[in-house]
Order: sequence, then structure tokens, then C-alpha cells
Amino acid sequence: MRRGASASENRFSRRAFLTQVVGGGVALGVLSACGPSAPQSPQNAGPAPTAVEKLNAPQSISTAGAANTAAAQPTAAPAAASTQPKGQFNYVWHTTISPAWFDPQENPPQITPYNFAYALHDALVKHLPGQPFAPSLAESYEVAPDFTSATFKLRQGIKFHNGDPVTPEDVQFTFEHYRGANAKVLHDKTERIDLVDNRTIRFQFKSAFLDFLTLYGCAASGAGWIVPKAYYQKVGPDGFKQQPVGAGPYRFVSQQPGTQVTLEAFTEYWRKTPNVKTIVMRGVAEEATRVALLQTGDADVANLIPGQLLDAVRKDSRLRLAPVKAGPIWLELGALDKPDSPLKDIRVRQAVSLAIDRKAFNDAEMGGMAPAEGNWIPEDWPGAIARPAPTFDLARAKQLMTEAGVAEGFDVDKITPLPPYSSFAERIASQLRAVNIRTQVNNMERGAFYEQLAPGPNRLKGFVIQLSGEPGDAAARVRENATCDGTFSGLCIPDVSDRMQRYDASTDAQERKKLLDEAQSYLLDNYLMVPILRQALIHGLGPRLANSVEEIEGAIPQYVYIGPYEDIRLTD
Amino acid sequence: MRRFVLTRIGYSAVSLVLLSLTIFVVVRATGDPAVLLIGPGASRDDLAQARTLWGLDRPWPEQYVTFLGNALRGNLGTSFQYRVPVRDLYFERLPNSLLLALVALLISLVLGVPLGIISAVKVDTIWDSISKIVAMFGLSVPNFFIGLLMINLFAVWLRWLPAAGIGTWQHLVMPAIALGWYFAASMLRLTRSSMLEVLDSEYIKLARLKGLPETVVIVKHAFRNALIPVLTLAGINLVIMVNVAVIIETIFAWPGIGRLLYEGISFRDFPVVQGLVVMAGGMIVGVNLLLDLLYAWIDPRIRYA
Amino acid sequence: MASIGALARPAALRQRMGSARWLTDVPLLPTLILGGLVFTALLANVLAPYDPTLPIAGGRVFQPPFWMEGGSTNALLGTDFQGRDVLSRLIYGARVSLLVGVTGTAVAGGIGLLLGVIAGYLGGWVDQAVMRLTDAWLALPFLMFAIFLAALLGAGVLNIVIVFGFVYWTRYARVIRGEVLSLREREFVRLAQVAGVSTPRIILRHILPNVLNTWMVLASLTVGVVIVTEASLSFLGVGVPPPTPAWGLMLSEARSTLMAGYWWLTVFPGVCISGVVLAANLFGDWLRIRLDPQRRDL
Repeated sequence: MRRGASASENRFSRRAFLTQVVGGGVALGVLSACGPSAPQSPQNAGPAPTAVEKLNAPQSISTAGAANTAAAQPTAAPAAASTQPKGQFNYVWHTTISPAWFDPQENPPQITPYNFAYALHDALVKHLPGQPFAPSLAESYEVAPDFTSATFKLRQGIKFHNGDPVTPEDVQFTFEHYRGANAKVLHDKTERIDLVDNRTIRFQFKSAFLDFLTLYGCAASGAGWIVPKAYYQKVGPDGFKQQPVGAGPYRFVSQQPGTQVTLEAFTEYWRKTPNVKTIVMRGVAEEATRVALLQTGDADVANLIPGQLLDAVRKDSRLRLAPVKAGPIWLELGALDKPDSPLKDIRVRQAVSLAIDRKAFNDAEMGGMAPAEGNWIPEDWPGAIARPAPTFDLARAKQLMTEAGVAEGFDVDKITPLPPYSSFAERIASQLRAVNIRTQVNNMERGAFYEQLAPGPNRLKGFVIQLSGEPGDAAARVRENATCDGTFSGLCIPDVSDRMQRYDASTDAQERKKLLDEAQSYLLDNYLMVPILRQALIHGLGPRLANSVEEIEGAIPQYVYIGPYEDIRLTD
Repeated sequence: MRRFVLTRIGYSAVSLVLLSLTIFVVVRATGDPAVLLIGPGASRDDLAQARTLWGLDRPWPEQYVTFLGNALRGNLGTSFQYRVPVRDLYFERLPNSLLLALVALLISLVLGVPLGIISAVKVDTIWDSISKIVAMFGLSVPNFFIGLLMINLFAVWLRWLPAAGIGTWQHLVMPAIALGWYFAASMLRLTRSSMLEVLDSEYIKLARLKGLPETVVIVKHAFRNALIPVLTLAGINLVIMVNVAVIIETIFAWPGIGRLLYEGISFRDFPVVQGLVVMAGGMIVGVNLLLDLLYAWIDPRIRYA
Repeated sequence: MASIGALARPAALRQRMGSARWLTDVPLLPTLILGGLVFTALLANVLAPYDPTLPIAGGRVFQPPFWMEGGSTNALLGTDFQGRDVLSRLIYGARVSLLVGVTGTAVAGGIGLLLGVIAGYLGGWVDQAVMRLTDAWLALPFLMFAIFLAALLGAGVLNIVIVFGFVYWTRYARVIRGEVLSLREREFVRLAQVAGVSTPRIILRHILPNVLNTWMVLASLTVGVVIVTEASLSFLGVGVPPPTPAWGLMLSEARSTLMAGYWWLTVFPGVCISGVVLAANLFGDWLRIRLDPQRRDL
């Protein structure tokens, strides 16, 4: 996410992203949930295909029918022959662990809570390695061709940690009581929920709800992560957060709020019995300490190793670095600090983009592991357009500046990074000196920063460096950041705002795609949003972790932490 | 006596209420928690919903009355971020903070006082200079740096101690040293100067004239008298330590109230900030009140002052 | 009036500061260091080889000092995470340290002096109120103020000064109050009171000059504290705003790099901080002994 909601100096938390499908040839016959139906050709397995595979919500998926799934899910409890879980996995988390994250009913629009959701809970539909929108608690699901309903069929024999079976009543309760991100949209558009039989549940919508699966089946909302109705009602929301019960691979054992959480394997998990018996997650805010814990062996995985410490981890041959693609980092140029600023001129803005040495930035901040993309919205998100990565051409930049009549440069009031990414701003500011653009780094306190990001007279002007990673889709991102009343927008341009309004009103998938593409193109072609890089979150893996990096970090689409939890293996 | 007690309690109550009001206003002046906690990508609806959930859409006076009313009944509210009662959070972490501060204080006394005595007794010799340098070192290196140095040395390199966390006495060693380091230096200086003053006094000259052995002079007579300002400083240091412990708590992932407050402020977690400040104020006021009552009981003249 | 005034002028002060010869008695090392600090701060533009906020053109990130492998003479003490010259940042950092040290001390000392004198001289309930205030003040988590200030005013050097002054005045107030309490009973003050000299005048002409010594000693000791506090505030993210070069900030920013082996990023600022604090404290000790050998509790 751009702006973390967790404590600590690191605001890397909560990135939503989609990893390119690597390994395991998966052919998905899918239809775009928010665009014209376009059959997808099977993607070859292999390293980073150049064509970006889009994350399009499938219209229907059934494990029984499709001959394509990489992981053949057993529909019943794992066979008795599977070994008992053993050992303890020590996971060092990079911020305070907030008990609020154990309750999917209140999930904020961030990716962080999903780390805990993947451990403690399960959803009807969720992303799995190589399988976006995989049926999970649901054995199969189907979205009506006219998008007016969605039907889910639960697996047989699935249970919560306390032994209660997972029933359609629980699904209904979960949905109706959901209070987190996108709750209003989901509730407003849903007419009713039918409990068709003891395993089938149907959502009936008031009108065509194209985005339903995008909202329900991935991290855009927690409504699909099923909580036990009876237990939740008994203990209440606050009691639930102190002692959560879910249907996921690990059950909750105990916590010291904020500091530590202990989990234990749920041997009756439908997908498989977890390999590791105990997981202890600790919150350690100080990056150097996280690396120290990795080096002493007290941590098997430590999240978020910053650029400065990459060498420390590299020098130790027992440790591995796991880069995971997160959200893009971009520079906002649209909110002018002065009405007559030279940034009005598109050539000047283009010069700014050309003057940024993304490779140097990448090498220093992310060990060269960040991918370069051409859009400020993750390219593999629903609705996002793909563009070639911007180039670094200082000569051309200077030429453009001369053409615009500002060869000797000018001042921009300030460059404000999302806290605490001061080093990003410092780097960009010094790079812009090469074309004589002078600006002051403006590091703000977190709270104050967010206040000034809202549209209005106080809105931050000049250069603003933002990161994004909240789950969602391209339309949500454009809406929030580039329309006149977007929550964090500094732009008010009819070309964009009008298009988004028409997008929201439209029910024609093709028209919507066109409008969204045009809005994004406008922003990019006019250099109002200049993508810098796609951030790579780099986690540190210790010697006890037996999985390969690809298996366990970045394997799940739109998810930036370790997972799936049931697949974690230790060498012991 | 009764009048005295009542007036003092009255003053204490008033100051606590004033404190609560001050902190209530100050935190609200700093910004909107909804955006910080719910975060970006939040639609206006999400933010509005959060605000309603936390009671932030009510007018301030109403919020204050609710807060005060609850506080008087022992309910300090529920943390926005943790969704756990503030009281529980506080009392869970308080022992950790106290433990750390007490051990750090102990270390500062054990390191600082003896060195201070030696330095005073052997004033202007090489020992004195060495002590001075050691003290300077303690006063001039920030505690986070000492902490990280120790982690690197004792945990990563030597593997003698765990790098961070809480649990065994080994976990306590480095944080306590890192916290107590600075105060050891200031103890050293104070002990030294206090001892010097006492050693120069008539009382000590008399003791020496009496022919008492030097060790007895120093330990039994000089030190005892020099101890008074040292203990006063120790008390003050304890309070200061609890305040600055946030840095040590961050470095060593020590779950104390310093870090809790810091995060509460960063996230505009109003209940946590209000609750913690009121609790801290309450403790100070409470302790002062008890001491006052104690003195008044011992020395009746004070009541009428 | 004038004659009584002359009579009332504290002889002690003239005795101590009278002859100019005491200037030659200053301790060598501390004075050199402090003098060096001032010199460097004033002439930073001239002394520093590079702009401290920009990366060296053609240099690398995390370059070691020139005598180590991988180092080069273009950056004598190496470069940092952004590729900036460490030496230049140290030189310009002297400016910030001096500024913060002096103004922080002035603010804390000013408030403390004011309240201490008022409490000590007026006595009674004013004294009680001020003393209670200093007691309670300890309880306030001052790091909280720092964050609040940063939220309300934005980051800046001014914040550090305000926060520090806000927090540290209690020390001055207590010590000076004690001093004033005893001064109040002295002959020359009584005489002035009897002669009908107005209170402000008494304070100004008789009390203040006599507490000045104590104040100066305290001030010299405070400078060290401010400089170290700057580092702690930077750690919490509410110190000097990057990319301003400041020793404490440099130490805080680079603290992780210890583990990666980039020792020059922390050792050099650390040495600078320690050096100045050492010098300030030694100077303060000398000053105290010079001015009032009997007084040991500062």
C-alpha cells in the first residue's frame, strides 16, 4: 500500500500486487470481470513472460470440471497417511501486530491483514499460487453471464477450528455483517442471499454487478473470508479479535497484543495438513534488529529488508533474499505549486520523467530487484493498461527543457515523499538537479501527510512521491487519485473525471474498458503521473526454511507476504 | 488533618482532570485517525464509517464527557488500532517497562556509584581522569547506537545473548544496559561531586583526626552522606527512563508502554494516548499525594503551611 | 541610590571575573575543540569540498574512506546511502549542531532562569506552584511533544529547539531557584530592599549577575545534552529533517549500516558528537571550578 496503517517507520506493509505466473503451466479460460469477454490463451510456463498476464476474475471455476489446476485439491480431509505437523516457524513481522487484523469482518483496504487471513482463515474464493480466484472453501462457483448473480458451492466436510462445520449460514452472516473495505458497495448492490441447500449459496444482485468477484474474491474486501456465525455472535467483535476462530490452516493459540502471536496447525484443513506445527509471529519494528534475528537464527523469515541492509544479508551465505513485487512508486506532477510553474508545459513534465535514472534508484534502494513498469497502476491488475517502462535520457530531457524555454532550470517548491520514504525523495531531487530543477525535500509526519493529501486548499503541491499497493483495481486507483473528489487526489481534470463518472454509470463492459483505458492513457501521455518503478519488497529467508523462494514468497497473486502457510516447510 | 487531606485530594483531582482535558484537546488538534488507520484507498464511505465506529463524529464536548465518565469507572476506552481495551494494553505492558527501568536503574547505580566514589577518593589522579572519560563516553553516545552496537557484538557475533525480545533474563541484559548507560554516567558525576563535597567537610576531617581507618571514613561516613542527592537523582532518573525507553523498546522489540504511546501518537490512536498520559499523570499525582500525606502525618507543621 | 547600588554590587563577582588574566587559564583541549566547532560552522562553505545535500558526481553509493579498498580521494571519508560526501556533511553538520546547541540551551536556559528567579525571589505560593510544576513536568512524555509539534508545525530545526527548551528548563529552574533563595537573604539584597529599590531592579542588578555563573556552567553542560538529544529525536523521525546534514541525523540514518559493515557512516558522526560533548563538559567543569570551587553539585 502507499500509506501503511501499521505502526513503525516502515510503511512497506500492505501491498497488493499480482505476480507473473511463473512455473506450472496454467491455462485459465477466463472472462474478464470488468471488460469485454476476451478468451485468454494459455500462458507458457517460464520466466517472466513479456506479455503481462492480466488478473481477470474468472466467471466460473470448478475443480471438478477443469483439467487445468496446478494444485489438485482434495475435497475431503487429508489422508491419514500424511505426516503430523512438527517444528516451529519463527516469523518476524515488520510492525506491531494489531489484533484487529485477525478479524476479516473489519479488514481495511490494505494488504497487511491478509497475511493473518491466509494463516487463520479461509475464503470461498481466494488467490492461490498460480491460481487467481481459486475456489477455496468453495468447491466451485459460477457468476451468471449477465452478472446479476453469483453461486457458490461449499466443499464437503469443511470445519472451523472449534469443530463447527462451515455452512451457508456462516457465509451469509459473514457477508451481511461485513464492515470493512468496500462494505457499502457490496451491500448496496446485493439484493438478497439465497441459501439454496446445505452447501450452496447464491448472491442475487440488484443489477449487473461486474466487479463482484473482484471485490469478493481477492483482497479488495474481507467479505469472502468466512467467520463462524455462532462463535462470532457469542464472543462479539472485540472478543473475536482476542481469540479468533477461522477455517484456515492454522488455529489461534495465544497473543500478546501487538507483540506476538502463536498459531498451531489445524490438521483438518481441507487443502492439506500443514507441515509446520507451530508458528510464532513477532512484531519487530527496527530493521537492523530484524536482520540480527535472522543472522542469529531466531527468525526463520524476516520481512522487509531495506536497501541499506541488503548487503548485510547477502554477505551471509546461509541467508536468502526474496524480492516480491509490490505496488508501483510514482511521481505526481499535476498539482502545480505555482500557477505559472513551468510544469504546466507537457515538455517539461516529460523532461522530468526522462531525467529520472530508474536504474540507479533501483540498484540503491532495492538491490536492483525492482521491475520497471510503465504505468503507475500495477499492470497486472484488473483494468490496468500496460506500457513500456520509461527511459532515462538526460540529453533529450535537457533538449525538451530548452525547447520549453527553461534551459537554465527552475524551482519547485517541494518534493514530498510518502512517509517515511525520505531516501526516495532525496534521490529523485538530486537526479532532477541534472536538468536544473531544484526542489526541497519535504518530509512530513505521517498524520500530517495524510491530512494534506485530501483534495482541498491544503492539498500538497509540487512533486509528491507516492507508493500504492492497496488491493483493488485500476478503476478504484484512478478514482481515488486522479478525479476531482478522489480521497487523495490533487488533480481535477475533466478528461479524467468525466470518463470515470461515465465508467461508474455504465453497464457495458466494452464501454467501461474503453473509458478506463482512455483515462489511464491520458494521465500517462500527459506525464501527470510519472511511474518510477514497481517496488520490490525484499524479505529475508533463513536457513531453516526449506521452500524455494518462488514457492513461498510472491507465489500468491496480489499478495506480498509469505504464503500459503500450509506449504511452509522446515529443514529439520 | 482532615481538612488537609481533603484539600490535597481535591487539588490532585483537579490537576488530573485538567491533564485529561489538555491531552484530550491536544490529540484531537493533531489530526484525523481515520485516514491514518484505515489508510489510503479508503473511500469516503469507509472513512466515515470508521469515524462513526469510533465515536469521532460526535461534538467534542460530548466525546470528552464520555471519555471522562468512562475513565472514572476504570474504562479508558478501546484502542482504535488494536481493538483491545486500553486498560488491558497498559497493564499488560506496564510490568515490562517497570522491569526494564528498574534494572537499568540498578545498573546505573552499580556502575556509576562505585566509579564515582573511586574518582572522588583518588581525585585528580589518573583514575579520576579515566572515570571522567568513561562518564563522557556515556553521556555522549546516543542509547540507540549503544543498543545496536551491543546487538551486533553480543548477539550476532558472539552469540552470547539473544538479539531482541522478552522472556528470559538474558533478554533483559542488553536493553537494560543500553538504557542505563547514560544514567550511569550522570550517577558517576553526581556521586563524584557529592563525595568530594562531603570529603571536604568538617565532619570528615574530624573522623580522620580521630584516627579512623580511611576505608571506614569513606564508606561509613562520607558515602552515607553523599548518598542523599544520589538517591534523589535516582528517583528522577527512574521517571525519565520510563519516558525515553521508547527508543530502547523499539530497538530490542521490548513490549513496553513507551512504544505503545509512540505508536499511539503516530497513529492518532486517541484512546491509547489519552489513556496512557492520564495513567502516567495519575501515577505521579498519586505518588506525590501519598508522599505529601505521609510528610504531613509525620510532621504536623506542614499541614498548616 | 547610586552609592547604595555600588555598595550592593556583589564584590564576589568582581573578584572572580575582575582580572582578565583568567582568560589565559582556559583548558586547552576543550577550548580547541569548541573553537574548532565554531570555526567549522562559520566557514563551512569554504571548508567543505562538496554540497552536503547532493550526491557526488561520478561517485558511488556507500563508498568507503579513501584509505580503504574501494575508496577514493574524491570522497576522503567515504559516501553515504545517497552518494553524498561524508566529510562535507560532517562539516556542515557542525553548523546544525552549533545552532541547535546554542538555541536549545538559550531557550531552556531562558525559561528556567525566568521561572527559577521568580520562584526563588518571590517565594510563597509562587515558589510552591513553580516547584510543583517542575515535579509534574517530569511525568510528561516529552517525546510526545516532539511528535505533536512535528504534526502541527511540520518538521524543522525549530521543533527540536522548542521541544528541548520545553523539556529541559526544569533543571535550570530548580538550581537557580535554590541559588536565588540563598541570595535573597544576603546583606546587599536586604540593603537594597530596605532602601526601597523596586523588585525588578533588584532582580536585574543584584540577583541576576550572581546567578549568571551558575547559569553559565549549566549552559555549558546543556550543550552536550542537546546535541545528543538531536540524535534521539532523529531516531524517532522528529529531528532535523533530511537531507539537512546533522550529526545526530547522520548517526540515526546510518544506524542499520553497522551490520553491513559500513562503519564510517556512524563512527565519524559519533566521534564528532562525542568530541563536542566531551569538550563542552570539560569546559563546563573548568568554568565551575574557576567561578565557584565550593559548588560541586552542578
